[in-house]
Amino acid sequence: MNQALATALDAALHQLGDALPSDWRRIVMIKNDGPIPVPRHDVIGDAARGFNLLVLSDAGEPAYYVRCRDSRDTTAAREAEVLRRLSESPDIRPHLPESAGIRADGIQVLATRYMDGQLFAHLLRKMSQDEWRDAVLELTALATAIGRVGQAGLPELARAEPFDFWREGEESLALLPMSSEQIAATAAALRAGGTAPPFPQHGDLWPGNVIREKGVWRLLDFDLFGRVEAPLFDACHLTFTSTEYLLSGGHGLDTPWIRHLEGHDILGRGGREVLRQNAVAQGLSADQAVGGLVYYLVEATARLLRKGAQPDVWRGPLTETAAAADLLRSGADVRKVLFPELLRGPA
Amino acid sequence: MSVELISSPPVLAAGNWVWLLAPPRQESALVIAPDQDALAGVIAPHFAEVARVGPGDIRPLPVPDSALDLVAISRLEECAPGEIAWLSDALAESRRVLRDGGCVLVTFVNPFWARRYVRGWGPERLVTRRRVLDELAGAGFRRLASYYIQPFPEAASSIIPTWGPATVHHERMEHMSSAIGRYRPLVARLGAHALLYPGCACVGYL
Repeated sequence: MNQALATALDAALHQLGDALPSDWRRIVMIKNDGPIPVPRHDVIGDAARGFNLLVLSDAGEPAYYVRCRDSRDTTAAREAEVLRRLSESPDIRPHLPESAGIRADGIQVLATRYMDGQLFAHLLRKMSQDEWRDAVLELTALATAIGRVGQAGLPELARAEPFDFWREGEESLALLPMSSEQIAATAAALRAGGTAPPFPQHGDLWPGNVIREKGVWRLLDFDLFGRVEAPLFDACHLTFTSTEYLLSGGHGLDTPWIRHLEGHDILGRGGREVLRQNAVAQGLSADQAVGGLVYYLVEATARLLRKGAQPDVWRGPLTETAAAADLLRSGADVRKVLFPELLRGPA
Repeated sequence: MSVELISSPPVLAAGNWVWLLAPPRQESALVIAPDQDALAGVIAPHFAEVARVGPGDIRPLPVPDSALDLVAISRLEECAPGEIAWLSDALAESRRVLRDGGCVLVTFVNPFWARRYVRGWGPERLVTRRRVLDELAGAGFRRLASYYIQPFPEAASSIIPTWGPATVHHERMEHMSSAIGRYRPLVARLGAHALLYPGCACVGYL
């Protein structure tokens, strides 16, 4: 292995109580998606670039997962720092990946101890709807707790001004290929949301980024942590994506998610309960909660469009956003449908 | 004899090969490869100077003794279809031009996948990984290593040591969700990992 990478990896593994393997067979390069160094004309900071390593133990079992990026990539360095600071909280440390980040000549590594648990995405295949609801409630409560620690422990994340759903979502909404009526209804919901206190979100909380290890939930992939501060974003993303995994193994929904949320079965009542609990925890009114839900749908779709994803990838989220827009323009009071408790005000 | 100096690297992640190698320095490298091969371009950012010569220019290599840190032979099956003597000569010349501790990298199509990836395929063009390792050892290279390359020889999205556990866990990590992919870890676990990957590479150090 190249000296710079060996130095960085050895130092990172040393922080995790281990050392660089001397046996070449124990290092597997995977997801080799972008050159390091990043060529001058490419954008530094794109988390998709670089490569990852799987480091095996002497016995040939996975021991560490290592993300390797250009040393100028601020995203990777930020994630290492975020995890270091969040891990200072003894309450949430057990729920975070055990990681160490080191920068060396031209390269930086983020080594994470391999977690031998089961992905939530796989667990969902065998879960009942009751188990699904309880798991999503636990996970979103955990994400909120981590967000609170982030607010206190990472003061640079704290933005001075409140989160304005319309101002933040306007540009993304303009990207969506929807009818003018759907755009107008969506814009009206964002405007009605007004502003809300910003709250640091994980930013990509979906069943593939959650592991159950020895009875403990652990969240992965903190590269977007705090970059998204839209209240309710994580709760919406996890509820939507886990519903998709529960019903179809992640292959899309036959009935739009917003229609499931209206229902009176466990999926509907459970989904509304998750959103309501998170809205209360983040101090939202019914208008703000609807604004947060609509902002999530718009932003999640626009994110894929901005990345240049294939139509079969963004078509599902776009259908969800359009279904929400149709519900909004049907004249139904979505606040009453989804968040009646919030309309009644605090008990 | 033509020596082409490489100055504008194409953007391909295959250049990350260099992070797995341990040449004594990263000053000068030589790639022996057919025309249009991308390897010289993609490793260029890692060395002060990278040159490419064609497969016909190796007897002798146009480089003084002990001048290089890395020699890479790319697409062996295209360089010398079935001519093991060519490989012997190329490795002997590589040994001459490499510094102490210098590194040679040989990439080639896995014979099991050759029908799909080699132009004008025929069994006589195949070189096995075992044979390349033997040639490296015979030329005096030590600290030998060998890898599989996935998903195809030139695009090294995965570089996997040819060790059973490495292939099993690579497959578990990369292919769990697809229908066919579910059987790949089993194939690896049964020791038939050589069937899974289109590309191979061998590495030796002086």
